[in-house]
Amino acid sequence: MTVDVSRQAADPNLICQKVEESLVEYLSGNLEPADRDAISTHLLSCHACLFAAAEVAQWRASMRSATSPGPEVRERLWRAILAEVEPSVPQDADVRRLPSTSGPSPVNVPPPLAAAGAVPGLDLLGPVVLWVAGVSRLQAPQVALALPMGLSLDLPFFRHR
Amino acid sequence: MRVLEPRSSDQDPDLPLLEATAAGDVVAFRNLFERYVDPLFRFALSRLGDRSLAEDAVQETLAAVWRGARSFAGRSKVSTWLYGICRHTIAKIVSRHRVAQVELAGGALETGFPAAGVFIGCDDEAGQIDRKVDIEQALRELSPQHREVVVLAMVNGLPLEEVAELTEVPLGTVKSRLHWARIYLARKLSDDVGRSGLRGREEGRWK
Repeated sequence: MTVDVSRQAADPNLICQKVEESLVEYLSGNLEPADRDAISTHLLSCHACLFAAAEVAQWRASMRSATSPGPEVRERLWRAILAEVEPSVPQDADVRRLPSTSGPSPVNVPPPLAAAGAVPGLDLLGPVVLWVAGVSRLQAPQVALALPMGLSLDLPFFRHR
Repeated sequence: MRVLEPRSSDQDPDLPLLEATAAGDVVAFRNLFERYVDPLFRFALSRLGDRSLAEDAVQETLAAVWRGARSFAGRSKVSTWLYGICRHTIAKIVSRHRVAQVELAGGALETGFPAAGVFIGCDDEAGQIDRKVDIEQALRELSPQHREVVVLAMVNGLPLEEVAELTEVPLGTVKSRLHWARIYLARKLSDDVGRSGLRGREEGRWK
């Protein structure tokens, strides 16, 4: 993908199109830092792309939540796998001291996000949607507070600046 | 001219875990399990449409990983290797149980996805106005190929190059599938917001 996402780019529509094409990779933390920063900068000034990013994040959050195996299934799976492979497990392995399987999988959460305990944007993108869409007058002031908080809460749009 | 490129692959963070697993380290295997149980479950669920079968797929996959860790040749990322085993396991389960990766009469395809419910709404002075948008129908109508890309890239967050390698299609095809899936989801969900407002999560569940 070749695109100039800087402010000097000639065609704003083309920038938005290319940014939207990269949103999934952006939200997954799969872009180079420079590209991630360029998109973050663009999102600060483009409500349409910000809304699109919030929308994708919302879908992902919903799908992740709905398709999670849950702690009971995780634990059952671990026990079943262990029972299945037991003959080859070293006899001195103390499986009783292994940590619980409860909690979300960290897979594919970029290290900076994992360290912050946040899946990219999921916690705060909901309010951002409201802010952009202007759905609720009552919540708007809260969102206005939430956005600056996002600066320090590792919201991906505003990180690495 | 700046170019948007995927992040260059640093050392595969899963490789030490897999190597330790190959050496019989159960704690390392447990860590690998922790990292992949949810993504593999989602992937299997999207293909099999049944939680119990998805559980079987994850169990067989990770047991195979324990047994076969030494055979990892390093020709791909560990995650690609794991998903590949899972994909193969899913195919075996489909064959074994004759699971319909169901093609419905009209060409629509059964995802088995739950009515996940996308919440776009909030409280206001008048009271709660939560608008749940059901994504089940939209996902159901995606082709298996588009649904696979959505789950791997959008839900599990795999880099698109890895999705291309795993699904054995060109990167451009992956991008195209994701692009059209996103457009379809946006259009479908936008329509649903206007039409049905409160329709949502309660209408559908996994088996």
